[in-house]
Amino acid sequence: MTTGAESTPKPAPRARPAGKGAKERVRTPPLPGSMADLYREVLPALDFEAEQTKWDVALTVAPQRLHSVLATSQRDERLAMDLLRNLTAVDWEEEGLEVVYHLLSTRHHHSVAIKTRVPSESPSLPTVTDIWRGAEWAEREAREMFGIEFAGHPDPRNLLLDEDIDIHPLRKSHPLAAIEIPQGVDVEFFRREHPAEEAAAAAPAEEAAPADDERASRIAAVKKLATGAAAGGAGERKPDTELTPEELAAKKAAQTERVKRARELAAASRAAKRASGEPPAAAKPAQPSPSVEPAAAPAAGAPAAEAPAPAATASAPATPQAPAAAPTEEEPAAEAAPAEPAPSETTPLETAPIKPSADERVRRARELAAARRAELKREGG
Amino acid sequence: MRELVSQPIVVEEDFETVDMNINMGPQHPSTHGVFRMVLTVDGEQIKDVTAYIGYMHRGGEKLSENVDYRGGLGYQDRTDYLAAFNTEWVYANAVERLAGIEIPERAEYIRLILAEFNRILSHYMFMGAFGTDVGIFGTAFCWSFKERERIQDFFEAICGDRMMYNYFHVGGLGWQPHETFMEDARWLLDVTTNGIQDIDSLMTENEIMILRCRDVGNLSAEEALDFGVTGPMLRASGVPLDLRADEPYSIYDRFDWEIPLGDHGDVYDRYLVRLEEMRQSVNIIRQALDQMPTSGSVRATLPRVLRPEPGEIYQRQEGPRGEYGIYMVSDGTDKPWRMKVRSPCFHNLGSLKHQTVGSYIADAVIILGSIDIVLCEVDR
Repeated sequence: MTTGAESTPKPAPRARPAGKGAKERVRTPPLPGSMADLYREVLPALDFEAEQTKWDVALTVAPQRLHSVLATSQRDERLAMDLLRNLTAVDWEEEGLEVVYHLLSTRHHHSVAIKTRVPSESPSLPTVTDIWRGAEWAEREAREMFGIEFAGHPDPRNLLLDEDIDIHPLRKSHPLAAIEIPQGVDVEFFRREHPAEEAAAAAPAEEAAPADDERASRIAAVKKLATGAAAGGAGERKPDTELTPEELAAKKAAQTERVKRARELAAASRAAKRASGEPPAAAKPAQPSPSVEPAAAPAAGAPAAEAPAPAATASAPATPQAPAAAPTEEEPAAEAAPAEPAPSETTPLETAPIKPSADERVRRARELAAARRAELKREGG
Repeated sequence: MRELVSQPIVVEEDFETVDMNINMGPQHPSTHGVFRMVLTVDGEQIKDVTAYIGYMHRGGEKLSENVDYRGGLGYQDRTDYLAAFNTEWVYANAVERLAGIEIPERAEYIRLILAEFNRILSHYMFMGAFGTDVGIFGTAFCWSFKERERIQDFFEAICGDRMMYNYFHVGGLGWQPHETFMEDARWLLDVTTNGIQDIDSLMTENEIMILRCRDVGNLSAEEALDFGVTGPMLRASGVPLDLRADEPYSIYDRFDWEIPLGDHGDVYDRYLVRLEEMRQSVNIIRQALDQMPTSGSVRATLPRVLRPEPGEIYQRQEGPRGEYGIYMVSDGTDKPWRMKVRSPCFHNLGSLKHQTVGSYIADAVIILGSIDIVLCEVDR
């Protein structure tokens, strides 16, 4: 086909595509409500709710009637919806999932949205790939993102997500950010491991709670913020102006706490790196640290902006060592090495970081992978 | 040196052939990004295709549902990064219509001009990459990138960025364009007209081009609609669907231009339609520059926090690759309850299997090239 061995010496180019004037093709949008009337005319027995959105008319039908309505939309001469332009779902939490089909007729130049509601638990709908073949990928995406089963789908695999992952990220119950599943780790295995890990993460905060009430409330606020996306949902998403003063104060406190903790963590990790003799991220401070460190600490201690980190509890044991480490370059690496675990032990809050550090993630991934290998070996032997 | 000894040729009567699987991508120059397909071939002929996408999936929809209405704009630059003005425009328009915001006319004209320039830019990119796919190696690529670079310089002068512009804001534009905007645009149009002519004279009648592209990847009008194909691909199949005319948005009803249509629906027609569309974009920009108000505000005055009334919109506009749509649902808070991107390439790519099965391996490359995919937009 593409060998170029044909005998034609010089193929003739095709005529340029003929233009169609756009001006005379400009359509006025159909009158609001006219699509609902048309559907009433074509399907007199159909029971639906019509709603005018900002552009299209949306008709909500029962899930049992959905397939026949869509098939009629495509086949009936008066409707002739030949293009399924969009297929998606909206998670309304306890009110179920709303599945939306946006249709367009290139012949009659009208468009409509057909909607249906299915329950959130084990939602199922008939596939429309027999009406429009283009629905195949769109349904696969809706299936993985919302967990909707499309009965009769020819190839119900994950499309955008990993093939053997079984999560539905666009559900509102799915958190925006959560503990990462390391690549290559079996999902089922991770799930078995996961509760223990979560409990461990939650435990120190609870232990620390009885120390004083103010602290406990702040910790509670932090935890609420951290898990809000998973547990809360619609009710939790209030703008600042609608919060009560107490809630606002708690939110502010939680934010301050989070920022403080992040700074402390960063300082601790910097201190640990410095103590263990590793070259820090910026290559410069490695050598002039004796001269820079004492000068920077008092200057930065006063303003509460970027630099209170060195003065914070986590780095406190580490900073005195830095000047001491300066004179001899080889010694401190060995001497300061035991200081590395110190920050994580001294500060109870740091043991449960919302987002574990990179080292922590790598360590955990390795552990999980090793356990997985061991498990596989057991199964095989 | 050994002498060549003629061996008796053994003819196996019951010799069985087996299909072979060939993996293309995800790291492959002809896949235009991170896209993988597994071809099942019988000799050179393709018997089955399995496409794997999702390598660039970043969860932009989930992210946009967790930032306020203005915050989601930045993510749109990162879907179709070759036509970021077009995608920004859809998002901004969706929010504006949802919240009932009117934007100044000058901003509307500048948006349209930039979006049409971006369409030309994107088609230049197609010409270069497609020329490489077909076998007109460096020349088409260098020529079209030279032209594309000029448009990028123009964009850079306006918003300081070459690809992720973030210049269209909800309620208008981020800031006024530079003083010489209109002169620059006119000069650029003249340059672009010549550039399009250059590409035309290089590629359209090129023998390799014609031999490789004619009657490859044919899609009839019915098949194209069945697969949800839109944009230049659909128009190459002869369906006159151009949302700028069919569902006019913005101020497109003020201009007069032509919608180029192909009649074979093959790869060659897709190239021709895109080439002609570039000329029509030049035509539209000329008219817009003549009508455009030369002074005035480019931003509407808006409240600090946007809280549209509960409601929904499916805003769709004609991007360089087809219908780019944003389905947005408001629940009355400052964040969208649902934000869905309908990307044209996602649906256009769905027809890949239908087009490639039965053709040859070399054809699969140019069929994929003719879809003009941007994987960031497919995976979102």
